[in-house]
Amino acid sequence: MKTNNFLLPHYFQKIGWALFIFSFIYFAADLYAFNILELFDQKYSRYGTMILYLLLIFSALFVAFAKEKIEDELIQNIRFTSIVITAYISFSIFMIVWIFYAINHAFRFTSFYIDLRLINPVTMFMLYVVIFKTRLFISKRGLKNEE
Amino acid sequence: MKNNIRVERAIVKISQQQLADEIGVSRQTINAIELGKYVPSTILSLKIARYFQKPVEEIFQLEEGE
Repeated sequence: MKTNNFLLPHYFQKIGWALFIFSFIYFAADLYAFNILELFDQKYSRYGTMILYLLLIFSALFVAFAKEKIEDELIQNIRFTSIVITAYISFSIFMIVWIFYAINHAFRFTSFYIDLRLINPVTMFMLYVVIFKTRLFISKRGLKNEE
Repeated sequence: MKNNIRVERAIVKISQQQLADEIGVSRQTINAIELGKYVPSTILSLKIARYFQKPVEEIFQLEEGE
């Protein structure tokens, strides 16, 4: 093990997945059973939904920022290239969204409108998680041929 | 860059997993290095060379045009 890379211990990944599944149960319970999402609602606040959001965000954080079982330089390399790819994709999508925004601004009666909020830190983070896990899976898949 | 790790492993008759455990990396890393998908760091290549008790240049060679 070389340098510390500020990641959470490995068991946080399992906690993250458990939270993620729990948030699904929470949401399903609201749809089909009790009205959980409005559980703690007051006149001007909605705590039930907030709990759901917090569950989702924290589960994603834990899964993304926990160490793998064996942290070596290959994984660091994969992490690094995943961030770079995430940046490239995010910039490209953001450029395209801006172009559509400009077109829509110029010609009033077109329907090219895409919300500028499409690329934001949350979506970029989720993109990073998807890209990182995918590259990790591809790297592990290459292990099938034993010697 | 080419490497002879697979040959050296066959000479000493150990598996990728065993080599990985000896050096302290994951089996993925050894596999990726052998397939040429990953260029190891200097420290890692020195460790590998030290394990096979050969100089580094005997295990890793630059290709034409690099």
